Formats: sequence, structure tokens, C-alpha cells
Amino acid sequence: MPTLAFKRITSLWIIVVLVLFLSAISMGILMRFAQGSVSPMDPAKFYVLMTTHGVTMIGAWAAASILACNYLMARYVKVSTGLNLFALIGTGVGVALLWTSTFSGNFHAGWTFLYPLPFKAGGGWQAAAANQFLWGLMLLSIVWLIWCLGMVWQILQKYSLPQAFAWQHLSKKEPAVETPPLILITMVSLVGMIVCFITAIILLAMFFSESGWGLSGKPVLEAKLDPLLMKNLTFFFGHTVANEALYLGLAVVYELLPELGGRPKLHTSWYVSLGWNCAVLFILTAFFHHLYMDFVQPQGFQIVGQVASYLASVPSVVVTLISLAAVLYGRGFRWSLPSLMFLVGAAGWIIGGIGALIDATISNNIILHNTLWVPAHFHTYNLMGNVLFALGFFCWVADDFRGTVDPRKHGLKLVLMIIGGFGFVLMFYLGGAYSVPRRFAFYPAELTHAQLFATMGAWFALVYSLGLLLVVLNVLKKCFLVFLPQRS
Amino acid sequence: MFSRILAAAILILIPSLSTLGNEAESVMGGESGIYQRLPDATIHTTEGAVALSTLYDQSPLILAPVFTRCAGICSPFLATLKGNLSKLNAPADFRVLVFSFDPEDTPEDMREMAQHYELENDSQWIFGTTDQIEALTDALRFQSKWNEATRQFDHEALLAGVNAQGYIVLKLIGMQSSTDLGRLVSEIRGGFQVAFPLPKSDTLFTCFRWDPVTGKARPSLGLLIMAIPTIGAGLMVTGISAAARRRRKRAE
Repeated sequence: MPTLAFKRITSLWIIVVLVLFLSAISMGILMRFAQGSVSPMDPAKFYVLMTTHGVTMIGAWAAASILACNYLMARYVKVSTGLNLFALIGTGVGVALLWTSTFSGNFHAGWTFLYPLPFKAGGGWQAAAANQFLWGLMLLSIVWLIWCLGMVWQILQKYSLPQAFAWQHLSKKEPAVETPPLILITMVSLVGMIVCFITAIILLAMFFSESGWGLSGKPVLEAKLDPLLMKNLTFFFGHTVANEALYLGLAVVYELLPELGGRPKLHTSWYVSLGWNCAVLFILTAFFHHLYMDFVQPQGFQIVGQVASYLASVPSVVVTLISLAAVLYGRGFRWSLPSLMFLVGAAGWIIGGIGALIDATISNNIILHNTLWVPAHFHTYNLMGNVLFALGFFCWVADDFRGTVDPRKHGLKLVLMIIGGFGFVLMFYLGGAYSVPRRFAFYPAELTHAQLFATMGAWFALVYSLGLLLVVLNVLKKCFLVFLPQRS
Repeated sequence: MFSRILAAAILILIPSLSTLGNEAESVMGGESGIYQRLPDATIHTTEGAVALSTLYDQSPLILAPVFTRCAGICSPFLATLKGNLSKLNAPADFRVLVFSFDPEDTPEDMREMAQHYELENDSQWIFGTTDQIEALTDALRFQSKWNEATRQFDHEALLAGVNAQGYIVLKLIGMQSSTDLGRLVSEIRGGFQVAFPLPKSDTLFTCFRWDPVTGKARPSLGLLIMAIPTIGAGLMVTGISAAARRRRKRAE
């Protein structure tokens, strides 16, 4: 079971994640109001916010998912407080580097920082700001790689490698050792995360080969980089890390949903084992769907991108739906705010996933690629999927810290988040359907519906934020209580 | 169990694969056929026959497939092309070959078409037919379909830029502004295009090396870099597993 020190470090992590989330969501609302011409903004400032918003959101919720799994892993394996503290300090420094590079250095090449854009500022930012941003990401990648490797070490202290991947469940014989779904999904997702962070380190090292390691901008090698390779590496890292974070969120749902509802624990069966092992393999090649527009990429890779996108989603979705149905079937399920969040989160994940599959189909992508459909689907499975998984965990763990249970459903908070969240993403989807381009700081008059969708989206996001704020205040209060002297 | 898995995999793969061939081709319409060499078709004009290679050897070409019976896009397309090219004020060091993809068209029909646009005496423009319609339109990946009800071809409005070596270097589909035409003209002259940089000898690790002679891309070192993270992660996890196993044994 988690020690008090482990609870405290988890609590500190939750406070940091929620503060980052509230800041990043405020940036998002400002951007949508600017696009709606309600509060116009200098385009350079818009892109500063867009860059900071993107990188903060992905990072914060990936960290939250890792954190949640690590906390729950303490039920099965020995976990390390020191490792979490190291990750928190490293993350703090990394985020500080990123935020100062954008807000102070004015770096605004987007979270994708596609090569060679960071080096083609056109007077928008200094080379030092670009390097600082890249160093921020490098630090985060190294720290989180160590974090993930440490968690793999913790799992493998108890389970052998095949057991951690639940391969013994693939045979018809009754396994001698049962691998809990939490351990299986965490393990396969951590391996994916490790791949991502190694990719990021290679990618960033290649950037530094051209820009130099220091802030002077003096190159290490007198060579140029291949934009195609850099883009492949960028999305290998970026696409995969977002998906693995979602999978880690699902691991939490597998572990906690039955418990919260008063049902027996979920067990790993052959199809759960097979589905999750396949998911991690397919997800590593699905990122090719980000390069459909790159005609120099051979056609075979584009086909792999489409097929892998379909295949990656099938095992995890089908297996999870069967498992969730098994948990929820029948009367007497005890509903609470975390379990409702998990259920709505699963719906958001699946709706966003369908939006993603539509976009990952080559014939659709040619129309949707540069439209608001793209932020529509990833906001759906993040904001209404992964965020709800993590918030559900935060609500649960805030009570678990003190060994209490909050029986209230907090219906109003969740209703505000559902109306606000789905309304917000609906405005993105409508924008996509009307071919409103993405990444525009402001919309010209020719895009007749764009400003309306943006303004409506911002208002819906405010409604979501209101519900969120009520949840967050409740969680933060309980998190701070962990630092008070504990009664024996 | 494995037969069930195989059956499920086939069921998933078949519908997705069945769409791929057509989709990939139509999606890549603007890019398909790029950097392929044109067949050396013979072009027939009222002044005689000339090999396509002779034409592009003399100067780069812009190819525009049309047909004279067209009641649709061909007429505004050619009028716009003529108007926008004249706006460019570019040196006349390239030519525009307007050829018919309708087997019923004759060189005389094409000359009349040139007359209609007052281009019959303009040496920059060539109006002609070819006996190798299929070879030429296939090379250009030009999309057209005969519609029996309207007695017309449904077809795209294509401009294909061909450089002095006979390679298709850029395709534009639809009515084109003078800006896009300027890009096309620059491209066929071998001008630098910011949007499509090719890897050079000082480029570190490329995914592919493209051979302009064979038109094929070969895998290069960059692809190996793409594999390093997965291999690296596999080695790290295996190493941790071995270390953890040793530790477990010691503890036992």
C-alpha cells in the first residue's frame, strides 16, 4: 500500500497537474475568443498561447496518467517515492524552460516544432528561445524516460517479462500467476512511452546537431537534416505519447471502476491479454497517418498508416467495451463522481476515436487534414476522455489519502462538464465539417461560420471550466490536507 | 483460438484494404506521376508530325489535354490559361502543348480551336493530336471518363509541367491563377522551389534516396533511425528484466 510520503508526493503532483491544466484551459478559451473576434489578439501572441497550450496539455495529462498508474501499482508491487519526486522536480524545471521560452522568448512554432520551423523564425523569436524550448523538451523526455524505466523495474521485480505482458493468459491452461489488468495495460503502455521518449531524445539531438547544444546557435555538425525524417520522428513521438497516455488512463478505469461500483475485480482473460498486446504493436505504426499530405513519403507507408490506425483501435476498444459492459451489467452498481467520470470518459474516448478514424482514412484526410476536425477529435478523446479518467482518479485518490469515501454524485459538476465539454468539441466538429482551417489566429469574413463556432466554443469551454473548477477545488482541498499531521 | 484471431484479422483487413487502391490514387491526383518521364509520343499538327522529345529538348513544356467537342471546362480553361500566362510577362522560353485526348479530333479541329483563341500564329502555343493518347494520358495520370448520355468526356482540367529532360515536374489541377502558373513556369525552368526540397549530399540521414533516372526511392539510413527507439526500448526492457530476475533469484 502507498506510504504517507508516497501519498504526499502524489498529492503534490496532482496540485501541479491541476494548476497547469487550469492555466492551459484558460489559454485555450482566450484563443477561441480571439478567433471569434470577441477579444482579438496579436497573431504572434496567439501562436505563443497555442504552442504553450498544446505542449502543456499533452505533458500534464501524460504525467497524470503515469502518476495514476504508479499510485495504483502500489497495490501489487513496491513503488518508489524518490522516483516520483525526481520526476516532479525534473518536470518542474522542464515546464519552466518551456514556458519561459514561449512567454518570455516568444517562441511560437507550435508543439510540433516541425523542422526547420524553429530555425526559421523570421524575426519572431531568437535562436536562444528555440533552443531553450528544445532543451525543455529534452529534459522532460530524459526525466520521463527514467520515470517509465523505473516503473518497469518496479513491475519486473515481481513479475517476469512474459507475466508482465500477461502472455501466460494466452494459453488455455489456468495460469499459475495472474497478471492484473492494471499491470498488463501499464506495462504495455510504459513500453510504448519508453519508445516515445527515446524517439524524442533522438529527434531533439538531431535538432541540436544543426542548432548547437548551447544558446549561441553554433551548429555541432555542418550538415542539414531531412525534413521528412524529422517529421516522421516528431509524430512517432507525439502521436504515440498521446495514445499511450490514454491507455494508461484506461488501466486506471479497469482497476477502479469495478471497485467503485461494488463489483468484483476484473481479471485478465485471453482476449484482454491479446487485445492489449496487439494494441501496443499497432499504435507504434499508426502515426504514419500524420504524413498523408507528404507526397514524398512512399505510398506503402501511407497504407500502413491507415491499416494500423484501424487495427490499433479495434483491440483496445472492443476489449474495453466488453470489460466495461461486464462490470456495468445488472442492477446495484454504486455510482459516484469518479465512476461517472470514468464512464463519460470512456464515451468521450470512443467518440474521439471514431473522429480520429474518420480523419485517419486517406480519402477523408485529404478534405479534413487542415481543418478544425483535427482539434475536434483530439480534444474529444483528451478533454472528454483522458482528462476525465485522470480527474476521476484524482477525486478517488483525494478520498483514499484519508481513507474516506465521498458518497455524493456531484451531479451538477459533471453535468456542467458534459454540456460544456461536448458543446466545446461540437463547435470544432462543425468547424471541420464546414472546412474551417485550423491554426488560424483569426478568421477572415469569407469563413462565414468560423467566428460563430469559435465564440460558441469558448462559451461552452467556460461552462466546462465552471464544473471543472468546482471539482478541482474539492480535490485540491483534500490534497492539501495530506500535508497536515496525520492522526495515528 | 488462433483461427479466430486470424479470421478476425482478415475481416478487419479486407474492407480497409479494398478501399486503399482507389483512394490512394485519387488522393495523390496532384502528385501522381510526378518525376516520371513522358513517353515519346508523336504529335500531329496541321504542319506535320513531331516527336514529343523533340519539343521538350528545345524548351520546357506545359501540357494541357483538351477535346474540341467539349461543352464544359475546356473553353474557359484555355481562355484563363491564355489570359493568365500573358499576365506573367515571362520570357517565352517555354511552350504550351494543347493536345486532344479525343480520338475523334483531327489536327484540323485543333487548328480551328487555336484560331478560336487567336493563338494559331503564336509560336509559343502548339495545338495537335496524337495516336498515343492512352500512353500519354496514363503517364500524366490524367482522369477522364466518357459519358454516353451527354456525349462528353467527364475530365479534370490538368496542366502538367515538363522540364527540358522530359520529366513531369509539377501538375496543377483546376483553373489556375497567374501566381500558380508562375510557380509552374519556374518549376519547368528548373527554378528553386521552397516547398519541395530534395535531400542533398550534406543532408544527415535521409529516409529515402530518390533516383531521378529510375524514378525509384530506395530506403536509406534514416529508416534505421526510425527503428532505433523500438529496438532500444526492447533492449532496455529486456535488460531490466534480466537484472530483476537475478535480483529475485538472490532474494529467494
